[in-house]
Amino acid sequence: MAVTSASDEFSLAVTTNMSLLSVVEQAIKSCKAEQARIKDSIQLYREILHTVTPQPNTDCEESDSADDAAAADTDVSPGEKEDIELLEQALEKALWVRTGTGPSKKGSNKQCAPRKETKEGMQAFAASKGNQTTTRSTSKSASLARKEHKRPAGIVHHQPARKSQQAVSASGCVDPGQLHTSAFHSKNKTNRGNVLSGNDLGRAAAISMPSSNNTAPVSHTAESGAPCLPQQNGTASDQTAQWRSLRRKQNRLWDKVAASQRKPVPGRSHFMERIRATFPKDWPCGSPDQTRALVDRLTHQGYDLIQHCQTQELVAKQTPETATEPGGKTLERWQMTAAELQNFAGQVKQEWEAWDRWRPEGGCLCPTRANSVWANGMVAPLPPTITYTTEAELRELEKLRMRVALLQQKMHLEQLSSIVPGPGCPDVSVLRDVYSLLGEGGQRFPAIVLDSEPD
Amino acid sequence: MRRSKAAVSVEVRQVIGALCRLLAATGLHAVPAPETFRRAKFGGGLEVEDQFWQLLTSILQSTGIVPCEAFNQLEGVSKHRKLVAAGLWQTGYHADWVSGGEGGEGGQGGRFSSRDLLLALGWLLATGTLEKLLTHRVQQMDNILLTPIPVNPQLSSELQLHSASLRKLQWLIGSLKYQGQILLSMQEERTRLLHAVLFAILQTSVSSPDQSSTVLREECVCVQQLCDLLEAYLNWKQVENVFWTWMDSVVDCHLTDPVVEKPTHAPNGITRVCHHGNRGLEKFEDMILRLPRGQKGQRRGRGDAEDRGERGERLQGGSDTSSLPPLLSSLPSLPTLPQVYRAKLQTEKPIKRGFRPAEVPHSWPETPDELPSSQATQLLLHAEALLLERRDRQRLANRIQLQEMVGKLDELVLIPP
Repeated sequence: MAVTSASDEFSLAVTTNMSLLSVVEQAIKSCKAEQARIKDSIQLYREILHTVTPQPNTDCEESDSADDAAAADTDVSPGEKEDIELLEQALEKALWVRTGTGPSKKGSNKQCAPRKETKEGMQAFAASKGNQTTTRSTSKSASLARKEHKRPAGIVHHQPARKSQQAVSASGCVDPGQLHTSAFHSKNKTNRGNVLSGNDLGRAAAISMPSSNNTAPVSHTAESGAPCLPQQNGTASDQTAQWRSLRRKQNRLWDKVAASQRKPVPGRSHFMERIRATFPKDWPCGSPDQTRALVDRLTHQGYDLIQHCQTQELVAKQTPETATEPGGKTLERWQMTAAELQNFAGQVKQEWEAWDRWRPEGGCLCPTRANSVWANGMVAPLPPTITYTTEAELRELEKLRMRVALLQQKMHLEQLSSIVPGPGCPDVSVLRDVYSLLGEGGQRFPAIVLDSEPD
Repeated sequence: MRRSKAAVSVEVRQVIGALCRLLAATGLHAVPAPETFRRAKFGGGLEVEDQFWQLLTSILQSTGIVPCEAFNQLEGVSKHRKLVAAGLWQTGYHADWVSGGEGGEGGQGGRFSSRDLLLALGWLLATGTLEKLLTHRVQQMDNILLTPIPVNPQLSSELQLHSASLRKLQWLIGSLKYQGQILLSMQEERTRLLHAVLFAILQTSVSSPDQSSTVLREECVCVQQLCDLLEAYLNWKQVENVFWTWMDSVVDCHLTDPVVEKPTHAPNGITRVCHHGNRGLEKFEDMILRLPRGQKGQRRGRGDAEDRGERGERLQGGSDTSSLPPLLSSLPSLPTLPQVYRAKLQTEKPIKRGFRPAEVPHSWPETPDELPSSQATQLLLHAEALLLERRDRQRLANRIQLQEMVGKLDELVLIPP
């Protein structure tokens, strides 16, 4: 379909039609529109997550710090202490790298800081990996937190190493002066992994508050223990709980609705039969929507078939020695299928015309993509539910969906272009470009060589 | 049916009330009161008719059955009539007044009353319009549904390459590829966050986040409305049968009226062209013409008059185009996937439903309401493989043809990469 067969003239035509460009531009525009939509959803999800999941409190000025600070110390288990030491060292190194100062000065500075201080430092480092502004960091940290959250607890020991790598590659500028007073909110008890401080490090707080100094309210460094923030806002937690319960209720209801779809409704079918009996005798079956979906499907299948045959003929021409029996049989089968398609298409066309005769103004029989009609002509009643168990499954599903959509888009564009033979000698570079565009998808280029030696 | 008439009518009124609540919950504005329905059964007059015109119009517009742009120029009553007529035809409904007169009266000689409108409404409900309304509303209100990816351009006619614009075309195509890659990575991010949200829903924490936000408040409002909608739908489903029994009685009333002679053929033979210009049919016919012919000789796709007449006879018996002939159905066809779906995170082990793991579905199963993601993934992989195969075939054909073309030119030799 892309290359119409050459007649006696065999050069490329130069026709003036800019529409292909505008189609591609349209496609680009729709991609950008989709990007904007996705960005909006991302924003929305981040906000929801930020609100719904416990965060280290950045804006909280209250310091229940002192008591918690004392308590925090005792909560740290020996294993964690080790991790923290390791991390501390790694972070010191990072500081050297970053600030270019010698080890001794920083090290001593660090070492005299209290334990919690280094934890804050670690937070800061981890946070600085992302960005520096307050507002954005919380959302980023939400996503970071999500990342950490999903990791099984077992690998928390690896985290110090990872964190140090991150710290070294951190793009933010880290200053010991910036080790600040982020409140360190603990994760909730029901967190799946064993809550350890290593995990909590993922929950970075906002960084850009310059710290008063190292003894500043260290608050809320309790891990796996008491939820330390006071409930300043009782309604807030209610809201989250309310949201959760509403969403769960919606899930349950949805399952019930889906189950109700499976039950047959005899009264309804009976009514439809009676109404159908009042239709005129030559009224076609089904509905225009079904017919147009069928037309669409057959059109695509037909073009596919044509392409198959064309390609096979071309290949057979090129390599005549392989055009033996097996090739012949396949060709015959294609032809039988083509004949069948033709017959069936004739019937469908009759049906189409029947609908058309009765069509009132404004009715439309053209296949549109807006239909949610399935391949077998049935109308999808409700959005189905796809269940998944691991995040990877969902990611793969969505990735595939996007890939298929993009592939369809690309193929649609490739099918639109055609080369028409015309008079005159083609420009060599044009030939080359067209070959690459239509033959290699624009990814590779052939070489065209002038062969001017007399044979 | 030993119950008294009064009891029955009370029940019917309740059921219709459930229907009205459901219709209102889907966001429709013009829902009449249950009493109006009863009045419509017995021919309620202009006021009742008006209400039903409004209702039908708004249903057809919300579900997208009728493309709105075709009717924007019309105003007033005639707009309603035309829009509703087009929409009803689109779903396969016939009535005298739908395909009949275009004047203000409607119906050629028959008695048009609100009962006709009531029957039309019944038809719409029976053909799944409620579910469409529900889907539409859910898509509006629910933020965590997975939605279709509309990146395909609409034009479908063949276009030609212009040599001067080739450079720009190459650049544009490169740019398109880049946009596609951006989309993929953004999609990845969104999916991650979506999973986090779904996971957060299932959590049973008692912690107290300190922040409230307007976003969550709005979310709660929307989700509450959604729950109301789903509950209304469930209520409706439970009492649906009573409604259909009642509609049966409406049909009875309608049939016992003096019936006008039904036209056995279309009122006028003029085939109007829809606002797309019959593009779909042209493409279809073009495809038929280009089908490879067998050895039996040329057989034109456009049948001759006699052929058509003969087939017309057969059609009256109801030619069955609902199932494809055998060879055709074995042709690989791109599985059409649902446009919108809902993702559900399952934490417990899913129950096996007697689905043989070795069986790979090649098309979307008949009416699934729930599908494991592995199956959906299989479908998508299959679709991708089909598309890639098609694309490679096309490219091969192009290459061969171009090589032929160049081969015929003197002095030029094409060396493929």
